[in-house]
Amino acid sequence: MRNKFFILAVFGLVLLSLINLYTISKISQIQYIKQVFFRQALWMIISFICMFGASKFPYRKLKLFTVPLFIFVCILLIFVSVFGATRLGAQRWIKLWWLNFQPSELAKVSVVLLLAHYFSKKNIFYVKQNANQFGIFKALILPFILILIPVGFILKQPDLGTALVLIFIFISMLFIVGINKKFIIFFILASLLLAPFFWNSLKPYQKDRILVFINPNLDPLGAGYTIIQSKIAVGSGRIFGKGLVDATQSRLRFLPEAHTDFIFASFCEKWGFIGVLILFSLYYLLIYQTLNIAEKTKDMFGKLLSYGIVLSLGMQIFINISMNLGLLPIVGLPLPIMSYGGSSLVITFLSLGILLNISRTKIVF
Amino acid sequence: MSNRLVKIIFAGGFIILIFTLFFFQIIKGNFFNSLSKKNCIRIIPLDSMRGEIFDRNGKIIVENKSSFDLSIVLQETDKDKALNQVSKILGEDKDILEKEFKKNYAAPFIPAVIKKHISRNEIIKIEENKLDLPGVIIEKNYTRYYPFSSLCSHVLGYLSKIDKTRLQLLKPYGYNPTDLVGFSGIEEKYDYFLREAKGGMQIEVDHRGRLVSILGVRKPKDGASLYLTIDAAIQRIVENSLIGKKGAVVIMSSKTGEILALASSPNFNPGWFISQNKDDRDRIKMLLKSKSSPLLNRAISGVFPPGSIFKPVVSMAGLETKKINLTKKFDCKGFMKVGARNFGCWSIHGLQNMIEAIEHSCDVYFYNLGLILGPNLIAEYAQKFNLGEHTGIDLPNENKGLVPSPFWKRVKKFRGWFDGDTANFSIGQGDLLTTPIQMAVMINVFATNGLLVKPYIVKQIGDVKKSPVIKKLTFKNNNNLQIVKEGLFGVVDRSDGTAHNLYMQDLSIAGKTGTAQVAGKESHGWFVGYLPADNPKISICVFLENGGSGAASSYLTKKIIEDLQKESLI
Repeated sequence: MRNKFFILAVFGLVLLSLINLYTISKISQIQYIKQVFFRQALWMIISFICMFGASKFPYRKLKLFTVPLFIFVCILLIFVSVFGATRLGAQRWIKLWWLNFQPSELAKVSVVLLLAHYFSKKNIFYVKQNANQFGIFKALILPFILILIPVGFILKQPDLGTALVLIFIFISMLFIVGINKKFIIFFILASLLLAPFFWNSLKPYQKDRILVFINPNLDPLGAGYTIIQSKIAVGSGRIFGKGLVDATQSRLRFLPEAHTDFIFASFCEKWGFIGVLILFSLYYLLIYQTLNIAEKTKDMFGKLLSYGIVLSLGMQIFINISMNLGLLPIVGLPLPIMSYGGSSLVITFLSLGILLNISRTKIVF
Repeated sequence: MSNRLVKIIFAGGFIILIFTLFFFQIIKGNFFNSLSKKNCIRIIPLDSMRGEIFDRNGKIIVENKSSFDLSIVLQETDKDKALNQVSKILGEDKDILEKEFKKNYAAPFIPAVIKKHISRNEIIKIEENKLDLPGVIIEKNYTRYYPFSSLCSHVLGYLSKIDKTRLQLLKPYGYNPTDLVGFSGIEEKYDYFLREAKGGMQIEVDHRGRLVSILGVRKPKDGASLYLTIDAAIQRIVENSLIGKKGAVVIMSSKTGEILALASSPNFNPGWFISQNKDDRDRIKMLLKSKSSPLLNRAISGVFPPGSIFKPVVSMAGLETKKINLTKKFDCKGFMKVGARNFGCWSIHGLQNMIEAIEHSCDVYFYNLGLILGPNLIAEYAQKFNLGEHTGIDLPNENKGLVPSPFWKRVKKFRGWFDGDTANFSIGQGDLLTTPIQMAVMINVFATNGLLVKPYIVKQIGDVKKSPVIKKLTFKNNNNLQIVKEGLFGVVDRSDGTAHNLYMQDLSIAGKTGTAQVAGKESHGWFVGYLPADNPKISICVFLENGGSGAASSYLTKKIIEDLQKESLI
């Protein structure tokens, strides 16, 4: 089997995720969290079906859906900002019967598809030429403005993490396309210039989080609490971890959101440094294999798509772990595959399915 | 865009994360682990109290009163909001509360006191508003309470925060820098027994501080109660008699050595030492500054020349060594020439035998006897009566006093011993120094026909009773004791005895007065005795520092005995 390491990494991560969520369900006293394992297992099944389906679907036909999907996502985001369910002060979810759907997760894959389509539509050199000859407006500003639409709505939810990931995907896409560096610097500066505007649009708790990131002891029982508790959970796992019963940070809920955004800290507490090394090996294996697929793909759309997917995954992994370790402000972003959450899981596996298809297609091509 | 570069960037990212995790989990792992334990494990102190102290009849002398402190648990409340609420409810200035809070704050989950010793009304107000005051708790504590204020102060000692030297000494026994420990008196001597063992419950709490499970319980243990040999009623009479005077009184049960009363004046109130009150702090400063040393327990720690009450010891030395007998008389002309100096007597007694000399406290007789005996024999008998040694009373800081001898003088003072020294020694003057408790023990040997008791003040620790320690002194001829006792009886019984003022129809008393001269100051007045003379129940020593004369002491003794009779305590 060609993608055996890729599959191995995915199954390894799924196994770790399920074991970890099982322990969280097992030790929790809260009814809702007790169901987390069962729910996530169901989502896993749905996700595998999605991955299998996506791997069978010729990816180049996705081009047909990029624009409609993008428009659909924008409509969903508008819908969420009006009718969305509010949880923990953020309006991110659409309630559909018993499941909560998070359109911002879909926005990630949609933006990747749109950009991959846009930059591959014409010859890459054509884009470059275009940019140099006719000014950057049509070639680069247009997609930038396009993605600012979902970014704006996502910021309003507010979901700083996802918004940052989208901007990052755009900028790294430019890298991969090989645009002149000065344009890239221009967009980085443009994003930074928008920062004050973002800052003012942030909710007070988000501002607190960023201030507290700079100094967690500013307010040890308020906004800094999460960072401190997360660091304690990570550090107290030491080499071999504390196991289930002694994982007091997770079990006694000192660590908030131990099943979603702070699942990494909870994982560290239970399995220690050894567990982390295993987790990192699997993540790196997955990223490495994905990058191999991207490298071997000759088709520009497939190449950009696979880079976009791996960068979006990698970005989420790094942001999430860094915020668990107090290296970045808390922005509210799940750890791909590990965190509890159906939308994130299905979208991740859908992306992985697309990657599998790209990897298979290249032989035929 | 090289694919390899992207791989390297990702690998680099993971390596940075691994280094960070290595730092958190391995280098700082133990630190974070202890933090996680602190997070979820809390110790709830369980009340226990220091042992209480009762007198011999079970009357409580030192008890514990519960006091209530108002505290806030920071992690369960918003400090400013809580302080505002409390200041509104109690009408207390918020800044004062905040100041107290800052002084006591240790950790978010440890209650920090914001107001100490709140009153009953304040407790009620807080309890009524309990719902608006999350994280505000009332903590119960015990403090020492002295229902009779200064009664027995020197016997009891006081309680205060442990000092450096004591902490160093007591650390191996589990004492902590914040502990209150006994200073002087039985609070110090029996601290080990009185001390309560603090108990605690180790519980696991969740992120909101709610109890999840109990990890362990250490049961608190109250300190042992002490029952004293002191009779509070007698002690009160004795202390009242000493008001306004400097001195000490010891009343002891003759046959056992149980101390019925032991008072030193001036005294103090042990309650001042635990009070937070500014007035009381000033009082303590006064105690420490005062020239009359109110903190000194004169009965056991003060040393004074005994004067004539030493004469029974010298008499015993003469009789036992057979250097003198009853037929031998010395002529008192009011003075006697020893060496080049005239040594005076306080009166002109004429021819005196031993019994008469004791009755009249004739100095000339004892100068003669002393010169016959020589200083070493006198010292030997003084030591036989346990002078110059601790009596072994169960109180700290007992002073040994001093029994001089030619050897001692040579070694310590680099001077020879002269007959003049012997003359002084034989009437209890010169370098001889004794404590009132020693003199009570000495006279008790006569009262009991030769029993040297070890005085004690704690009768019972918890359920364990102490038994008296008594040593029988052996004399060559027991009749010798009777001879001296006849003299002691005559001191009160004979109309010309020095303490005839103590004579009572219904109660026979024997004893000896003493006036010890002090250079440049009023003389010390002594009276030692026992009663009833024929079958003694109690021995008494009354000492007045710079009190003028032995007569002053015998008058005071009379007052004490009369008061005791009035309350039919003897």
